[in-house]
Amino acid sequence: MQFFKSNKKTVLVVKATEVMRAEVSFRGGRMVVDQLERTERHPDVPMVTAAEMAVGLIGSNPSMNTILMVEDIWSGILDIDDRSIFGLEGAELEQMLKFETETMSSLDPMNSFLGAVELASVPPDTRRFWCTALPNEMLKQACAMVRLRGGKLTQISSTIGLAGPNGQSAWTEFSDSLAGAFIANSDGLPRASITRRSKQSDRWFRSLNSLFGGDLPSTGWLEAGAERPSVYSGTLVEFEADELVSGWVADATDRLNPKSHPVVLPPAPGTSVKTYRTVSFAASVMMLLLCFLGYWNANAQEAAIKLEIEQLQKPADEKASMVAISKSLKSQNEKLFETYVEISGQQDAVVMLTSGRDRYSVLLRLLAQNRHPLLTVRSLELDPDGLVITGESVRNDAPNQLALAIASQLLPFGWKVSTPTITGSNQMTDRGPWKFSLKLIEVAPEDESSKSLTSGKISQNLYGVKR
Amino acid sequence: MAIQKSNDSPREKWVKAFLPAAVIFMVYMIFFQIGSARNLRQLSEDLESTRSSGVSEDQLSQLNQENFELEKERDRLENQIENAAAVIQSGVADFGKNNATSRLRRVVDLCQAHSINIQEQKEVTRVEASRLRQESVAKLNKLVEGGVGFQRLELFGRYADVQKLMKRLPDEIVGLIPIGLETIPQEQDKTKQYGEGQMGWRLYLLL
Repeated sequence: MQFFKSNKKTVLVVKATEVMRAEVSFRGGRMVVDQLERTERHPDVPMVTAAEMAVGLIGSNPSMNTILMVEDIWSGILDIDDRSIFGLEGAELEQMLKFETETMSSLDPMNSFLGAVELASVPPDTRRFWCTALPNEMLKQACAMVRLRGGKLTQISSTIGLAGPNGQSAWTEFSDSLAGAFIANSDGLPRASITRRSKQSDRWFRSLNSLFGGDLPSTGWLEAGAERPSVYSGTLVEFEADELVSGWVADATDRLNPKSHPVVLPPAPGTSVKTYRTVSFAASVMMLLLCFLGYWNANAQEAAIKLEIEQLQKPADEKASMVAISKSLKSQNEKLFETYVEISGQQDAVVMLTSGRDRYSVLLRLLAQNRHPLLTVRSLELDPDGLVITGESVRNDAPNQLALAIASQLLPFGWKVSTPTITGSNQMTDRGPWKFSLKLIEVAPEDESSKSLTSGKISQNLYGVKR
Repeated sequence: MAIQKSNDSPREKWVKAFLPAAVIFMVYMIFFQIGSARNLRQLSEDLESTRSSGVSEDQLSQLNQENFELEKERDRLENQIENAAAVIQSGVADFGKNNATSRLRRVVDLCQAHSINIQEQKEVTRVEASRLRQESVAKLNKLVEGGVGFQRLELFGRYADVQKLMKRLPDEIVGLIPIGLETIPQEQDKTKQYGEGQMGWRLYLLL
């Protein structure tokens, strides 16, 4: 039980003639008494009052692990036939032991608490128990007293059989009224023998010896003021000096274990209405807080998601806006392009008509300048494709020379000169004279430069000077 | 059968103690948590949907660039249309039937100046010209307020005089275009007697 040893404990010891309080703590691997205070007890002072006196010996509140060791509660050895308790354990066995000890302790089984530990059995069929019992009322009073002082009573035991002198594991104890012999086995069940002393004879000693089942331990305690039994030949240490008492308290606290020593465990106190109300209120407040936190968390999550959606939506909105603008621009551009195509055609028409207005003058001049002296132009005739020039030539190469000469100069004016058609009349030795037909085909202006040609520029190109 | 009564056992007391907290929890669950969870689930779905249809910076940048190019194209087209309109406006301003008579009188004056005889002068509705030129004339006719007019002149003159006339006509008479010129074959009209070196000419004017 390291867990309990590690805590500070308050040990209240109520002897027949004195009371003491010790503050004990677990240090260095063992129990150590930090403070010990003792005072005398008047024989008429009741146990609970004596315990209260012990609490008052030290100003501080008793700890939440307070142990009460009392000499004047009943503690004894009980032998029971194994068959009578066969199969019983736990609460049933405890109840059985209460009834069995009733004749020895004079305590009402229904109104008393009992702590018991099984000792080494007595062959062939007897089981031996070491029991400690006290009335309910006394236990409740003791618990209430400690609780009122700010502590909590966790264990009650008899003072007898707790620890031997100088930590010995086998010892005897002699008080004014009781005698006992004990062996605290580390393995197996402990052995113990307790008997009530009598001043009339030594039969109690023989009973003690017999009950113990062997030679009594050679060392033991002798309570202060108690008479040393003359029949006991061992060494007895008087339970008086503070150092010895401190050692006993430390060893007793260390060994106090419900499995090896009869200890009465006070029942857990019932939960008060105030506690229920406090817990109910606290649980409600906690639940409200949790609900509020949950609500706040959900809202925060919603807000965070909405914000993220909004942030993700911004580029999407921007894209939608840009797509709408793009559509609008494309629609505008399509209409503008249609308008442009239409107006471009009109512009071409206007440019075609207004540029080179003097082109017939240019044509007549070019024909006059470039014709061979033996070539005669007979007619100009409008044609659906343009203009047809006809004439006669003595030389058959003259029409071609004429066509070559004027072709490049007429192109800016929208005339493409075709290859002349030449037909011989067979009136001369070379089959001449020759009739020719030269077609000038109308073409659209070639490019912007042709569009922007003015008559002045064209004339300048043709004649070399501006007219 | 006995009616089981409350024995106020510790367990029952603890249940009663925690009952208000349980009620608070149930109220919270029913009125807040369920609705909130539904909203959160819906929002999460919306978020996933929005994420899946997310728009990257590159896409936006690309769209922006496309729009910029479209705006540039629009501006370019508008400028071209304006320029074309200006060209058309300046080109057609001088045409029309309003001053056709005065322009025609100047034509006659120029013919006389070059010793060219006008044998016939006639207003016509269409000209004998190439298809391409006729299409252009038709477009111009639509652009000029009131439409353009056509005159067909049959002239007699020498080649060189006609050439000079064809030079001076567009240079000196604004709003006039010699749209077609051809010679008249002599055999078409035997009664016509041409002078020395003279030829018959048929001139189509747009004015």
